[in-house]
Amino acid sequence: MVTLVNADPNLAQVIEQARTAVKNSPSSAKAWGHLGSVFQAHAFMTEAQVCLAQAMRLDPEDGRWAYLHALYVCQTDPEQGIPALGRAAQLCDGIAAPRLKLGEALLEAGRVEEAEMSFRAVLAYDPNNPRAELGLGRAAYARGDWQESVAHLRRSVARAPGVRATHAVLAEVYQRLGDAKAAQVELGRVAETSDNALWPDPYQEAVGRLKTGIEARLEHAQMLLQQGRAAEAIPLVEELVRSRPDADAVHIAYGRLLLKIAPVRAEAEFRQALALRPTSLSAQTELAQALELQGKYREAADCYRQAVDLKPQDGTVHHRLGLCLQRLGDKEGAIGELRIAVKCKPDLTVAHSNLAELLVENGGFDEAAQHLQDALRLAPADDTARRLLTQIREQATRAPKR
Amino acid sequence: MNGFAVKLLFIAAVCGGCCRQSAATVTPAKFSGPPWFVDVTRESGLDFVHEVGTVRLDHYFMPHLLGSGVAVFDFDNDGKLDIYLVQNGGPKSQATNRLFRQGRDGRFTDVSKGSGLDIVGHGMGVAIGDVNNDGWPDVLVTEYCGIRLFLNNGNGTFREVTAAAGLENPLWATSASFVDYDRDGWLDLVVTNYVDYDPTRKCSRSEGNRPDFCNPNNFAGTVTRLYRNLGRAGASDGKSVRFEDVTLKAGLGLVAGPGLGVVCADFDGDHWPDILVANDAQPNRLWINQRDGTFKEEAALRGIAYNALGQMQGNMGIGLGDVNGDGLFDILVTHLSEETHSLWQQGPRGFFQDRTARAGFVNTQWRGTGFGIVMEDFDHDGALDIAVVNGRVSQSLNSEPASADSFWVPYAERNQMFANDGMGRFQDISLKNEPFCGTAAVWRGLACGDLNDDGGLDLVATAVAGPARIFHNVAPQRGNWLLVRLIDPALGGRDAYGAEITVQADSKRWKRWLNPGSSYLSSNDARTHFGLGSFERVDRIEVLWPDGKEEVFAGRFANQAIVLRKGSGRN
Repeated sequence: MVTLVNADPNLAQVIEQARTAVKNSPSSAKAWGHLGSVFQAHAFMTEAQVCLAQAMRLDPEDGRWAYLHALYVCQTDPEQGIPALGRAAQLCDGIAAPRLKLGEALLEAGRVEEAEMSFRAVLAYDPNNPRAELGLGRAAYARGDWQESVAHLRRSVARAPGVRATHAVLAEVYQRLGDAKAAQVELGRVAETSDNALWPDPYQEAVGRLKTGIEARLEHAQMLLQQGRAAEAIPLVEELVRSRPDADAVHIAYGRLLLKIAPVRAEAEFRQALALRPTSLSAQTELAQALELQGKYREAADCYRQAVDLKPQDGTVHHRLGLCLQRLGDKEGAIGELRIAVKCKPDLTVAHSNLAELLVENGGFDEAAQHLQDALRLAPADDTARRLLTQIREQATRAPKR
Repeated sequence: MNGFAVKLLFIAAVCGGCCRQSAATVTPAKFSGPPWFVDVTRESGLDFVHEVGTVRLDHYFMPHLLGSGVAVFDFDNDGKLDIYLVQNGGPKSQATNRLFRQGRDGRFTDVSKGSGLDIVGHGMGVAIGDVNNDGWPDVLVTEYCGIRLFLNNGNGTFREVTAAAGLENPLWATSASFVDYDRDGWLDLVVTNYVDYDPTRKCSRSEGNRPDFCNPNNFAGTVTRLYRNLGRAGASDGKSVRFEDVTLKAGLGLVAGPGLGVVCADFDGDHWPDILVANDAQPNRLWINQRDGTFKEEAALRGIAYNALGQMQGNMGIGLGDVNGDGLFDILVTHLSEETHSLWQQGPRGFFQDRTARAGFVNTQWRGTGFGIVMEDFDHDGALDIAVVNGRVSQSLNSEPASADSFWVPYAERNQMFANDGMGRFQDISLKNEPFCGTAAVWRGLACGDLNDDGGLDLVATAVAGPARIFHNVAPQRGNWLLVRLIDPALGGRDAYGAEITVQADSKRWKRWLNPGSSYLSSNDARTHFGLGSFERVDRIEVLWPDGKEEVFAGRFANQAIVLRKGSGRN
């Protein structure tokens, strides 16, 4: 049984409402399916499975419940998952997602021909489906038919260019075909795509919409922000601040939204978060940033020092602390912090450059040159680092030899 | 209990009858032997229990979850394998890492005290290698926020030389391996680092209802570090050893990731060692040696970054070996319960293809979140078998929430064992192996070696907050075998890490790659093991030494442990 003690009040309310609907209509497949979907949306998978199975019994013709149930079975028992998906695909005829998922499950099980049939069945009524083309590309790859694989993958990319998995398989297939240049291009695209795109799936999207609670709403706000929809995101988070002033995560999220546009208000939010949870590293570092933006370097440095106490090996915090100390005129202190920063986070390019600049001012040319070389290894196009390195080398050549 | 709850439970009971068992629930399974391994922990005298310090239910400290590893090696060069086990109790713990010496009677005695290896900390992994070429194996311990190197004094004790050797790594170090990447005769060191962890962050499953360990995706990955061994000449005293951090210079610092497993071998056939890093929930990275001190990342181009569906998986431990006898090594990476352990077969040379389904890893008796992995020929039929240790990283979906007295129960899983048919297809024989596979725990480290000198490879496994266990190989009707140690007298008589060895009997050839650093956080016996089936002698042994030189050694009878010295064969 799901215990709702200490649960997010919104979540408790949603579950309770769905439970009440089942109690009121115990023979309603829709009520059971909805309760199962609510459970699934919040990762109560065992309870979700029970409710969805009951919904399937009450209405064996409704493909929604069969599909959502099959997705769970796939996770726990892939062998049984395939026939379950097959039934769901039949019931959901005309909706691609279940049949595509079936094809992918068959592919994963090594049943390549059956997988291809599934993908082709989708293309028969949705000839431009990029996920089906990707599936066929993978199937051809599994058979070692690189040319056919490329053909399908290219069609998939043309219709859905932002899917990392497609570019990854394409890169490898091009390499196998000896086309290193094309492979490199695809690798570049793999690096550009931040994550695998979510394929359209009306059933799973419906489940996703049932998500509630702080984390879900913060995720939603984050998504809006990433899409450049700050005007929609801000009221969402403001509402959360009003309804859940006891949650430090909410204050941090709100503070982050305000940081660039209103650092004073952001500072207040981060202080509120710290008051709620004094050991929060993210609240401490965000507060330090808000102070930095206001030019309060001494206070910011104090905050960064407290952050270092919480996590002594945080390269980013040491870097920021070093920059604050530099602003405060403490060059030696800044160099010390930046040295720690590059030890903790050797791939932090800007820390290498900042350290090199300070070292040059102090006459530490050899060490500065090393860090500039490191900066250029990490970011070969860093012209500032290149110029400084050239200057150092010229100075070294001009300096009288002892 | 209200009527609603009763109904749910009733439905659950009905459903439970029709559902196949899931590893997560650890439902009882019907085991029937004869097993390939028996648990001899008690009679061996190994009384090690892994410590993670005090567990606080409001503080799911991730380094505890990753567990700690084990090394199987002969630290005193007496010909008997010894065991080193790592603890994770933290710097204030009383529980030290422990060194167990094997006596002539096969029993292990704790010789930790005064050995120099009896250290405390959030210990993670261990790597073994003779870094100063004096013929005595040295020890590298990885920790949450550190690494520590101990030189073997040759008298049963070790001395720490971390700082003097120029080794510094404030990151969360996990698996490590020694490899002579520049072929100068000195073993260099590669250390995988996990995530840039925020210990103050709280994570949960299902909307704050159930606290749990954080997902690695909550944090940025970190770089894998490479340290070049400058040899004794680089050390101030001329006797010790000195390393240079070449992470950025060599190129490994260009791509960060949540590294858990590492294996070093020649992936592209140019006789220079490359580095494969298993990244948790991120693409694997294959660093191809450019033979000029730098590496180039080519995992995606060579087919080993993603699975067959182009997806990233929770990559943990790595096993390396030729599963289908084609002379090219293949790679098995252990994954989450919701995924499958993936087998990438090599072919043509330098390219890998995910053959998980064909190999039989999709429909296994149960699934598990795999960590340690050993690919060796346990029954000596000439084909590499597989042992995997499992343990979840988040609470089972079907489990009760963790409580103070049963904190690790929701993470416990059973191990798995697979028998190879010789063509790279595996049969799940877990149900025949109750001693190894029957006990659910949060298993992590796994290493192998012939502990009792009977020719069969034995296993040592570690578990979070549980006892380490020794499993002796008792596989019925085992075939013939050969155990080969390769040493280079010019390098102080140390093991020739990076060598390739081919044994031929009649028209049958078996190939192995010498490097004890694989699996997860662990180090295996450095000798290479061959199951020979019915062949009672081998006709020839070919060795491709790490410097690219080839030698052929004469044939000999099976069922013996031999030592081959560089320079004593035919060119």
